[in-house]
Amino acid sequence: MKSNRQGVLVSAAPFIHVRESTASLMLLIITCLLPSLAWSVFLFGSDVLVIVGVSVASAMAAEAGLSLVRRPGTLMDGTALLTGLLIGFSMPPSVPLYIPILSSVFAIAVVKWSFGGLGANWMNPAMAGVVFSHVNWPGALNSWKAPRFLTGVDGVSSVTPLGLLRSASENVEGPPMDLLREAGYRISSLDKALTARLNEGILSGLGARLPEGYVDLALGIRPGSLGEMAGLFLLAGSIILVARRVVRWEIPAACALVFGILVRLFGTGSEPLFSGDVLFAFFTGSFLLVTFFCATDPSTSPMSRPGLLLYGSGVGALIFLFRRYGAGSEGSAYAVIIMNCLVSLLDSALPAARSRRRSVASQGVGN
Amino acid sequence: MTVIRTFKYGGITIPPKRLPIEYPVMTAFLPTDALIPLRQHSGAPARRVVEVGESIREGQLVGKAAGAGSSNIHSPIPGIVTSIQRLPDLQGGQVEALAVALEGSFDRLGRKPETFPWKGMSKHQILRTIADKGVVEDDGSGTPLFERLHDPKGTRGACVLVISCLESDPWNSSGLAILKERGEAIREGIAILQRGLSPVRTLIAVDDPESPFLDRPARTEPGDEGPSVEAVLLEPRYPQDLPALLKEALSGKKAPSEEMIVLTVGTVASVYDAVALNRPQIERYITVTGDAVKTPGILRARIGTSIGELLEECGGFSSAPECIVLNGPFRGSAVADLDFPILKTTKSVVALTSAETHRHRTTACLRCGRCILACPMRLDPSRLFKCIVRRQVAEAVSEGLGACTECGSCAYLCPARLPLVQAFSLARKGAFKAGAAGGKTA
Ligand code: SF4
Ligand code: SF4
Repeated sequence: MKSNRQGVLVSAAPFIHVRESTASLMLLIITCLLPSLAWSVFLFGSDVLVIVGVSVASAMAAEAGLSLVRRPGTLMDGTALLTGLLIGFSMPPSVPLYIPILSSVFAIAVVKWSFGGLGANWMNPAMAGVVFSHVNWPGALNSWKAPRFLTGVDGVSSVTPLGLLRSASENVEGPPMDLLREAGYRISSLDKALTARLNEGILSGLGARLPEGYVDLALGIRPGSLGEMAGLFLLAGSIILVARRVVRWEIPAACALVFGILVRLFGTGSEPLFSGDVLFAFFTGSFLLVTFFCATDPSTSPMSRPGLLLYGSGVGALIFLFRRYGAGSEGSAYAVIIMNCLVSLLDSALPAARSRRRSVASQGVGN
Repeated sequence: MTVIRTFKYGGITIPPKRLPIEYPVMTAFLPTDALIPLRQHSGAPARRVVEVGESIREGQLVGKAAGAGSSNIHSPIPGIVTSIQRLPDLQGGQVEALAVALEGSFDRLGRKPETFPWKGMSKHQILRTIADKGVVEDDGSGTPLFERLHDPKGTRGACVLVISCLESDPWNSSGLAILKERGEAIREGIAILQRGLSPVRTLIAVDDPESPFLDRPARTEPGDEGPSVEAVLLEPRYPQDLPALLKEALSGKKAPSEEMIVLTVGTVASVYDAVALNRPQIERYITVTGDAVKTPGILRARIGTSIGELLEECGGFSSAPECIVLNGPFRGSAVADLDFPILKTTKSVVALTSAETHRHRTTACLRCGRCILACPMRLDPSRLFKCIVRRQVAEAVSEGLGACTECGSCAYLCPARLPLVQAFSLARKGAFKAGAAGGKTA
């Protein structure tokens, strides 16, 4: 009677989904990074926007070009935007623009798409881009600029706290903050005022005292790359990501724990054994940015809980090793891509995850 | 009622979309044209026993069970068989359907039902009646109830009868409506089943603290208590209605030594109708809901009524539906044709808007692990999917594909919108045909 009755039943259940999609997850991560970007613009001026802008634009242009050829429609999933943003964030404020452009294109075109794009990543493209830039232009990536509030510092030749500590600690021992001060590292008046406030207000009641310098570190009032400045903003963003389960808590937890313990034991370079300055280590370099926003990229991290814990510990340990004994003062990106390469091993070789599956397989249909 | 129990691993908790318990249950108009497919159960289509042009009575047998999994089918209305059509089948393929035009008088409708003195019936007679009246399970499978209860060799040991008041998905409210409207029938139906099965215990699983059965699960007329019934409150969680998970939730840590026979309240109501009222299974409680429906409601409708008529009785659409789904968005099937009829296995008609479906284009797997955390069968759906995409179905089977219940929890949560369940379902069909499958038990 009715011809349209042919094949009208469609079995594509489930017909409903959570609101979250790949694009919305990426957008959430990007949103959590925006406060840091704003803070960075405030500290270094509008140059920051130009650097991050060209980095994002070139990443997206590369993605658009490649997705046209390989698999259409991946531009809007937000992953390229995030990659570009992270690369921009890893640049020093006075970097020549061709470096972020080339790094972003390298990250997308070579690292991301050589194995087929999202889902087939063998290492985090953003971190690979950062390593690429460090290898090719080590000089340009090591020239820093003093942020707002730090007055009286010679603009171009200023160094990051980690870099300064490295040269200052060659034959002296002591807490990193003291060494920095002796080496002529400047502390902003904002830090002095805030530290005094804190000490009088909250901390004196607790019998503790915060030395000067740490407020500067937490607020990013120190020379450093664009996105790593605002430690406190990064922490706040990461809390949102963990709460929304965009980021599996196992990675940053294991990473921070292992890194913290190692730093406590062996220090960042200047401290005597067993009295490392953990707070200093957390808020210098790109530790927070990398731990919470780069190492946690799900497509290049393991899936099982034991795998995640091991992976996070590995990243923490490697960051420590590179920072303490490596050639440069900063090796977080290397740490992440090395662990990325071990992910498939971690995923397939962990006995806990597999035996669970096998016991289910032998159970048969569950009813 | 100290601990509210649930199953151990995975699953999803989303706010229930069901209609509140005080929602009125309406009686749907009788269809002037009923469409009666000859397969409304799990097995082979029933054998047609009427011809075109034949005049039939309300409740008359029109299809006779043909083998295992098949079940009798009765006419929901009196009338004339006008044609034989072919309809798409929920299990794939097509099936014969009778078109019946309403004519003549109703034998049952509007008359006071007579209660049949079932207490004089033997176990065997009770089961026979259940088979005759075409009672199939209300859990979505459509298994003929007789086959579940029947124990020809007498091999069944002690069993526990579990009456599940859990809805099949968060949109469905039919179970609650049946509980509310037919409480006494269900209490009596439980007594009938206790007679037919002789369980050592009878449990009622409830996930709504307001359910009337929590306080008074069994009949309470003096001198007529019968075997006892205990109510157990569970946490509302999808897909707890799956028997395996329900058993896990009910038994807690210790695995029960007795077999658990899980039946839904809808099934129990049909048992009461068949045995105590001598009435074949021709009526359903259908939840008509979804944001696209103007006034959602629960309708008592005859089998064979078209879903379009039910939607019309609920005021039609308030906005354009993105899809219309039978039996719930998690496990149901979408229908494009509003003439499709209500079957014995239909529970709900859900018209979803795009704001509810959250469709997106599929991206590559993010390896976010949400599917693993959601799978109540403790599988790794992302891994299974990868195997299937690479055409390594045997590998997927060894990873536990056979245990997948196609509950859809994984695909619901997948941000990449991978068609996980479709892949599993297709692979299972193909895999089992090739005989490569392990683990599928009856
Ligand atoms: S559909 Fe299968 S694999 Fe997915 S959650 Fe349900 S049981 Fe697990
Ligand atoms: S939920 Fe989807 S995207 Fe996430 S791991 Fe599972 S299949 Fe991949």
